[in-house]
Amino acid sequence: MGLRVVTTLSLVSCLMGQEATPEPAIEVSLLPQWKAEDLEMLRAGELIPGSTIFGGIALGRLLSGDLEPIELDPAVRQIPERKPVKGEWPTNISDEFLSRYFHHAPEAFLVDPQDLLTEEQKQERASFLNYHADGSGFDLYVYLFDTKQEIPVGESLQGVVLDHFADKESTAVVFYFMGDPQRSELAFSEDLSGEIRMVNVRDLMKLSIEEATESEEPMAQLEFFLGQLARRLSGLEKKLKEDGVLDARLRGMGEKEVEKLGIPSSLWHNFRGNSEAFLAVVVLVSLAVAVGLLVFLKYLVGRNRAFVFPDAQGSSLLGAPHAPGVGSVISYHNRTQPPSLQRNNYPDYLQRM
Amino acid sequence: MRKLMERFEKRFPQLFVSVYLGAFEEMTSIRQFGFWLLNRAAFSDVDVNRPNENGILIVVDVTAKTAGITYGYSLLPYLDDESTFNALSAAHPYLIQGDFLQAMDHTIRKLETTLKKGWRRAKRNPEKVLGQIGQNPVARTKASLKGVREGNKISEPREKVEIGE
Repeated sequence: MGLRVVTTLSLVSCLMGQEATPEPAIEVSLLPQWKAEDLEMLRAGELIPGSTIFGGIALGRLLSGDLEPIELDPAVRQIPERKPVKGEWPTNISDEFLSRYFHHAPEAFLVDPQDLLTEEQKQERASFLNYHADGSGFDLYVYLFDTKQEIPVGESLQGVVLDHFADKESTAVVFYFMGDPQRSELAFSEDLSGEIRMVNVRDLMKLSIEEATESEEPMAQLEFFLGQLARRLSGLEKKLKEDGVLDARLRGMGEKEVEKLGIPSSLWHNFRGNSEAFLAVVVLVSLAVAVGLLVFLKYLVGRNRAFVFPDAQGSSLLGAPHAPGVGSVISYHNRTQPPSLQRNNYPDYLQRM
Repeated sequence: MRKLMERFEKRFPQLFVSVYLGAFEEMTSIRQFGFWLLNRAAFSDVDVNRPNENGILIVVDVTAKTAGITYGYSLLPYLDDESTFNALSAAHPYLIQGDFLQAMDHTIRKLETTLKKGWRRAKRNPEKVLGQIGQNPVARTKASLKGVREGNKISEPREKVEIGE
C-alpha cells in the first residue's frame, strides 16, 4: 500500500508541473520514469498526458485548439434502446397483455397471457386447478407474472378481485411471480374477505412460499406453491364449514349442479319443440334400427341355412366313376414365396370342354 | 377337424368334405392320388346319401409339402381350378407353419363361400349353370342317388377309410 501511495504522489506532482523528486529506484523500478526531457516537452506542449489512452483523435483535436463539443454521428445517436434479452428480467408488463390481466374476467383458472409457461406446463397447471376446483369449495385463480415485473400503477390484486370476481363466491385469486414466490399475493372474493382474517391469509402465503422455496427451479416452485396453497385452502374450507360460513357456498354449488343438469334438459325441450327435426331424427333412427334388425335376422337365418344343389346327370370321364380329377395343387415348401409362385399347374386334361 | 366336417355337411346336406394327411413317398403326383382316391375309396363315416360324386377331397403330402383339392362330378358346375387354388391359398400360411387344423378350417370356409355363390347361380338358372359343363338337371330320386353310390361298399369300423381295389 505504501509503495502505491508514493508512486501516485510522484505522478501527480509530475502532472502538476512541479519538479520531479527523484525517488528511490527500488520503489519505482516497475513504473515509467519521468525524465527531464519529458518535463520540457510537457511544458512546451508537445507532450499531452493521457493522449495514449484517448487516442490520436483526441490528441489531434487538442492540438488543433478546437473547443467545440464533438457532435455524435446521427446513426450513433439513433441506436435503439437495448431491449432486455432472454434471460434478463423485464420489469414492465407490455401493454398488449395489460388488458387480459386487468381489464377482462379470466376465462380459465390459470391466467398467463405472456406465455411464461409452455403449452404442456399450462395444461398441467390448468388441469391441477380444475381438479382442485372440482374437489374443493374454493376456486383458485392464478395470474402469472415474470420475476421482476411490477404491477402497473393503478392496478392491484384487490382491484382485479373487485372488478372481475364480485359475482363469484368462495374464490381465491393469486398473483404469482415466476421464480420469485416471495412476491406472491393472495386475495379472496368479497363474500369471504370478511370471514377470513388477514392472519390466515398471511399463514397461507407463508406456508406456500416456504414450500415453493424448497426448489430453485421456477416451474417446481410454482408447482409446490400451488400444491401447498390448494392443501391449505382445503383446510381453510373445512374450518369455515365447521364455522358454518361455507353453507351458503354449498347451496350455491347445488344450484350450479341443477343448472348444469338443466342444460341438456332444456336442449331436449328445444329439440322436441322443433317438430320437423324431431320427426326426421325419429324416422332416421327407426330406419336404422329396422335395417339393423333385418341384417341381424338375415344373419340368423343364413347361419342355419342349408344349401341344396339341383341334382344333375352327366357322363363320366375316362371311365372314372365319381371324380374327374380336376382341382388345384400348391406347394408350401418355400416360406418366402407367395402361393401363386408355388402353384403346380397341370394341364386340365380331364376337364370336360 | 370332425366339427369342421360336420359343419360343412350341415350346410350342404348333399356334399361331404374329406381330408387326407399323409406322406406319399412312392407317389409321384398328388393330383393323381386324389383322383384315384376319390374314385376308388369308400368313405365309411360318410352318409350313403352323399356319394363320392358329391365329395371334396383335400390331400396334403406332409413330406413333399404339397396340398391339392379334388372334387366329384356333381361339383363341376360350382368349383374350378381357380376357386380351389384360392381355397388352398387361404390356408398357405398355416400349411407353412404345420398348423393343419387351421389350414383345413380356412380351406373349407373358402370352399363354402364359393359353393354358396354357385348355389345362388344355380338357383336362378339351373339349366344354364349345369349345361355349361354338359350336365342336365334331373328330378331328385332315391334311386338316382343309390345309382351313384354303386360300386362303393360300406366297411367296418366306420372311423377308418378303406381304399378299394
